[in-house]
Amino acid sequence: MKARHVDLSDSCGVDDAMRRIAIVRFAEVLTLVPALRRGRSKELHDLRIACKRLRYALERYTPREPALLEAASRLSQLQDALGELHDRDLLLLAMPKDLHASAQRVRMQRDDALSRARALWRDAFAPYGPFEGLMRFTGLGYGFGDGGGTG
Amino acid sequence: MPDDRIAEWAQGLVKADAHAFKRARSRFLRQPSAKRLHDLRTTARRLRCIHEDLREAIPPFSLKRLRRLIDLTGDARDAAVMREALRNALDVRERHAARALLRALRRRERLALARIARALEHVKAPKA
Repeated sequence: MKARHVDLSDSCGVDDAMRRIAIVRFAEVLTLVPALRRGRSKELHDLRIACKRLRYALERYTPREPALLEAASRLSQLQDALGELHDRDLLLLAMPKDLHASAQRVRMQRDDALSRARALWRDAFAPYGPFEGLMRFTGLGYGFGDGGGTG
Repeated sequence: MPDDRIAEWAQGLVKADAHAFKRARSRFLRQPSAKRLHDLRTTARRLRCIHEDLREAIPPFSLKRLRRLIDLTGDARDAAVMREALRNALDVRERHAARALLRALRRRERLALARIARALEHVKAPKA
């Protein structure tokens, strides 16, 4: 999935530029998050990439805005869970049909990773939770904590 | 065009990421390993992301070769991770049936590592 363009042409100062970047990258994540409910491989992979872009952007800015550190850390955990899931999806595609029992184990690991990702996402929006600082910084994400993100 | 403060800030960030990439590149070329492959992949992806985020504030730089390198590091990493995951999930009764796939994954990883070494000869970090 291609990264959306960030318009910095009329931004006034570093803080404003960083906020614009964070808004665009967080919006990408929020747009893709229904993938957690649907559980489809390609959509989850795109969500993982979007989480990574947002995390990298936040990590660059945490020295100036430490409140973003928790969000960056939660995105890293989310990325790990989605990464495990993606690895299992790739493996399942490559496995020959006669590996029934092993494939079953891999599918269970995939389901575990998806459950973990869903829980990490839901919990991120709790009051004073990991995304509190990110929501304040960008003004986005309100309403996702009541289940709006994953249904 | 963003103001000078943003351009200065952006170039400082690119410089730091480009330096990290160059370091990972030379370490990998000196002696490839899984850890060094991971570092190479991570620093290359960070460099690509920063260019996507700050395109308007930094000198133009073609990402084509960097993207190709990231794809190749992904091939090597996927093959290694899949092999490990298959070994962990393998049912003992299916060990024989899995041999061909394990071998193919090992081959794929080696091939990708060789391609990475070749691709690295053509990838340079941007000057910030």
